[in-house]
Formats: sequence, structure tokens, C-alpha cells
Amino acid sequence: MTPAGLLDVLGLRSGYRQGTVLHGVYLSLKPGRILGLLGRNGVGKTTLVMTVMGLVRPTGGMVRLDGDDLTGRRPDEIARAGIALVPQGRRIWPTLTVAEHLELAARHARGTGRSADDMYQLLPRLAERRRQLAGQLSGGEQQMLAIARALVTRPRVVLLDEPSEGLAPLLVDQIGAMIKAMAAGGVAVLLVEQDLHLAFGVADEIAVMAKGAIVHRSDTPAFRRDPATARRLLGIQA
Amino acid sequence: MTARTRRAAVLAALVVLAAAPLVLNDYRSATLARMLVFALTAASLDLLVGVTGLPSLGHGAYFGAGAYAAGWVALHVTHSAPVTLAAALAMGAVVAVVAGSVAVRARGVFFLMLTLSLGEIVEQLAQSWSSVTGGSDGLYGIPPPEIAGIALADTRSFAWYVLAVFVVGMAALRCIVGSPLGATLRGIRDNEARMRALGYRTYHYKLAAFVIAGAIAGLAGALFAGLQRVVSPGDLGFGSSGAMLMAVIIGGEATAWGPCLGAAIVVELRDVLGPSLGGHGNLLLGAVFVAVVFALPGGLARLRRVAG
Repeated sequence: MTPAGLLDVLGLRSGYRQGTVLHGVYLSLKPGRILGLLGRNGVGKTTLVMTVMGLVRPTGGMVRLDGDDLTGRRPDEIARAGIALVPQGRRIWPTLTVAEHLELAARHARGTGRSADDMYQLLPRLAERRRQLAGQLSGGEQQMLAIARALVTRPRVVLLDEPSEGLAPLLVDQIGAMIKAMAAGGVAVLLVEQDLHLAFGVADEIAVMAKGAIVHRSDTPAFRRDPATARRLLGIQA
Repeated sequence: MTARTRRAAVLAALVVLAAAPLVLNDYRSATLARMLVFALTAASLDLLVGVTGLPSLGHGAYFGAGAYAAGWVALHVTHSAPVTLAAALAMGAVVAVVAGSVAVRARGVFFLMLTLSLGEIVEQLAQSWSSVTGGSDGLYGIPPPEIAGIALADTRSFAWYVLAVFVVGMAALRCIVGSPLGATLRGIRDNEARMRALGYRTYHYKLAAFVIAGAIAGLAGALFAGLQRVVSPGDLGFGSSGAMLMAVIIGGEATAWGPCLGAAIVVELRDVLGPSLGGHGNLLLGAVFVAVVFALPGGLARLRRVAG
């Protein structure tokens, strides 16, 4: 795979004490494009985003952002370089208010772009609840907050780890619209998803992971036209 | 409770505290001063334990270092209250910088044990550096502090002096907790990895919390030295640190006034009721601690939340 994107992952290897999880992942994200990353449970999707973000230490390979080598850097350095993570399970701070979340996230924001006020305009529901503790929000509101928290850092790349998890279909559609809007603003998006409806609805391309490596990559329409591949790689009817 | 009623309650409490030395005898006024000193120390520890999520077992070291610094300055340089307070604040901060730069790299039980070890090292230093600390005898005969040339020798005026410093220290701590730094510290407590992934170098923030807490504890140590007129190595050892942590847990961590309430209870049980119970104050304190941990895991401050 030729590295030519904003974010290039080149032969990335990492894992935990129990063993290696990523066995040489190659991936490339382009500005304004959404890559949907699919795969069965336990194939290393979350480990991949955690490693790119610096939260899991890589044992080999390289992560480059616009040509700069970020491999092995600290998470705070990677975040300041322009990569934002929306983690699985939201991971909001339950004892902080909505406003405090966005203020904290905006402290290290890069250049110009979306501010907390922009987020309130985009998501009036968050504006109504800005003085409320995040732990008291509904699951959908918490997910919106998690995404807004990532966006106010003015990232160049956003890594979304299963943003639809546990949400009602209507809320999933709203999350999908937010993801499309961030890509329309020029952000490169990696969307790790189990929900095929969301992934197919927003992603420009689909990549499939198996056993710690990317085993398939194609445009979303092409992937949808090939249900046999989807069944073989994911074990489901696409 | 609205912000307005909260302000009114704080004001009422301060009026009661300010008026108390007028009606209390010398012994009870001194006890009140001791409670306020211990309350300020517990509140500073809560910045670490409750706000930042760093359960320290070595906070007595910064309190004691402040007490020694204030005592030494009062004995050898000047009795001036602002100078002794500044010396204690600075000494608490310096010791906290040294200890914190090591301790905040660790987490969980390792952090706990490191803070305990560092506290013990400081206590040993106080024992062995006799030419400065007086060794196992400590510093004694410390003169009362002076303000504008007037010595605060009587118990009543000293209690007011302690109350004034307590108010300033608590106001500083509340400002910090309510500031963006406070929100950052709470974010670190709730999910440190998330803060790092937002661009925060959390080590620096945790160290800042450590130093602020150490400086305020040092300030409280200066009050202690002026009150007791003697400082000994036991004041900065594990017994002292453990009692501070108990005060925070009994009162309720990460609450505005919980640690102060806990401190008042610890002083009352250990120092006031203890002697009349044949020296079994610590036994009673332990029983109360166990009861609170099991019956009110969030501390006594939780009672108000439950009632509310």
C-alpha cells in the first residue's frame, strides 16, 4: 500500500503483555475522507486506534502525520500534533459539566476552527445542558459530547471507536451526520464500527481487519456490491 | 443548596468561629485553633486525595517541614508572622516539589507507598539533622508570632490569627478547585488517559497539585508551630499523615467542607476526649473511622446530599 495520506500507518505492530495484537497494519487516511474500519471482535481495531494515539506503545512500524514521524511519542504530543480520539464507551468525565469538558478540550486547540460556542450552535442540546454534569446526560448526549470534545481540539485526524455503541437508531443517524460534517470540514476520519448501517452510510471507503492486519480495502459501494466478501470477512450479511 | 444560601451558610459559620473565642475558655479556644490548623491541612490533602485522585500517606512531611521552618525562623531570625508564614509556605512547597517529582510518576498502591516512604525519610531527616532540627527533642521554646510588633501571646488573639490564615488558605483552595486547573485535576482523577489524549501532560498538573497542597500544608504547619510552641519529628511522621487522611475520609473527600468537619472530629476524639478515656482516643477514632467507611462511604458530607 502506497503511503500518501495525511495519516499514514506503516507496518504498525503493538500489543499487550499477553501477546502481540497488531501484526503489521498499513493504513492511510486522506483529508475530508472517511475510512470505515470493520472487523470481528478481538481483531485489534481498538488496539490500532490506541496505538496510533500513543496510549499503547508500538513495538514496530511507523505512524506519520503529514510526513512527521509520531511513532512512540506521548499521547499529549500526538494530540497536539492534530489527532483526536473519540474512545469506545465515550469515557466522558462524569463529575465535570458539559462546559468544563469543552473548555478543557479547547485549551490545547490548534490554530483556528471550531470553538465551544460553535459546538453549542451545532448541538443545541449540549448548549441547553452546558451547566449539567456529564454523568447525568443520556447515552446519546454523552456520545455527542465525546465527539464535540474531540472537535474543539481542531484536529486534522479524528479516530472514532464505535461511536454508535449502545445508541438508539435515531441517535446513530445524528452521530452519522456529525461525522459527515467533520469530514466536510476537511478532517480525515477513521471510523471503527460494528454497525454496518452507520459505516456504509458515512464511509467513503471500507477496510476490514482480521488477526491484527488489514485484509481488505475498497470503496464503500464496491464493498456493498460484494456480499460474498463481506460474509467471508465479517461473517454477516452485508 | 443554592449559591446564595451556601454563601450565607459560610458567612454564618465564620461569624460563629470568630465569636467563639469571646465565649470559650482558653483551653477550648486553643482546641478550636488546633481544629482550624488541622482542618486547613486536611483541606490541602483533599486537593490531592479528593480532587486529583492521589491518596497520599506522606502529607505530614509538608506540614511538619512548614512547622520546622516557621519554628526555626521564629527562634533564630524574626517572630514576624508574615515572615514565618512565608518561610513555612515555601518550605512546604520545596519539600513537595522534591517528593512529588518522584511520587507522581507512580500510580495506585505504588504512589501510596512512595508517599509513605518519602514522609518517613523526611521524619528521619528531622531526627538526625540535630544542628537544625533539634533532633529527637525537636524545636522548643518557639516564641509566639508577632503582627506589627504585637505578640499574639494570648490564646484568644492567636485563635483569631489562625482563623484569618485558615480563611485565606481555604479561599485559595476553593479558587483553585473552581478554576480551569481544578477542572483539569478532576479530569485527571476521573480518566487520566483521556486527559493525555487531549494534549495534557498530566505529570506537570499532578506535580502542581502536589506543590500547592504541600505549600498550604506548610502554611498550616506555621500555625501549628506558633500554637504548640514546640515541633518534634513525630509531627511529620506516619501518625500525623494517617490522621490527616482519616479526617478527609471521615468528612468526605472532594467536598468543600467535609475535610474540615473530619479534622474537627479527629481533634475532638483524639486530643480532647482521648485523655479522659485513659488515652484510648485513637481507639475511638478508629471505631468512628470504620463506622463511617461502612455506613457512609462518601463521608459525613454525604449526609447533607442524602438529606437534600
